[in-house]
Amino acid sequence: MGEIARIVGLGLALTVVMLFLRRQYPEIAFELSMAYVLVVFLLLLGPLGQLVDLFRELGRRAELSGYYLDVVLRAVAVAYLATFGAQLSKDAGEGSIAALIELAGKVLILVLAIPLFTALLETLLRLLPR
Amino acid sequence: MDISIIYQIAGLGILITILNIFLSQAGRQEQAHMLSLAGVVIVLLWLIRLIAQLFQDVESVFRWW
Repeated sequence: MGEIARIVGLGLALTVVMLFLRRQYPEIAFELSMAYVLVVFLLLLGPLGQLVDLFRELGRRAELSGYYLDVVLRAVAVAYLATFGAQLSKDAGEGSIAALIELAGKVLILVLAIPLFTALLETLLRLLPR
Repeated sequence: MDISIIYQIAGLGILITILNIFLSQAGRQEQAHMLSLAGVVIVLLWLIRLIAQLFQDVESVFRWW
């Protein structure tokens, strides 16, 4: 439980400092918020890794093909990175760059899912009477 | 993961802001600009390492390849 106290306390302290820095020195203010986001993302990766291990264990017990779980986890990772970049760009006022990062995340996740779509399509076609 | 880098960046920002105010008051706008640019570059160099670490950690947590 120390993690959440650390993240919230650090965020509140940074909010106070940012009030001053954003007016006087906006470049550093942006980099400071970027550093905060980076540190929080890195802090959250540990618990997230435990969750991923739990999902792998569940998939193994359910005898799920490892490939499907891999696709899901990769989609989560792409979404994680895309959120990071898009949020930072939006904070800095670059809405168009943020939108493009989000678009790239969506496209790449869809590309990851292409094999699943084709497998689904083939299953459906096999069900259809000839 | 240590969070001291955030305190470092905040401290550097406040320090450079104060120095900037002094330099502008003394009429040295050029040097004030250079100082703020130097601060941005220094912090960017710290952040690049952190970003690389984030990408590597995401790769290892989700066992990317």
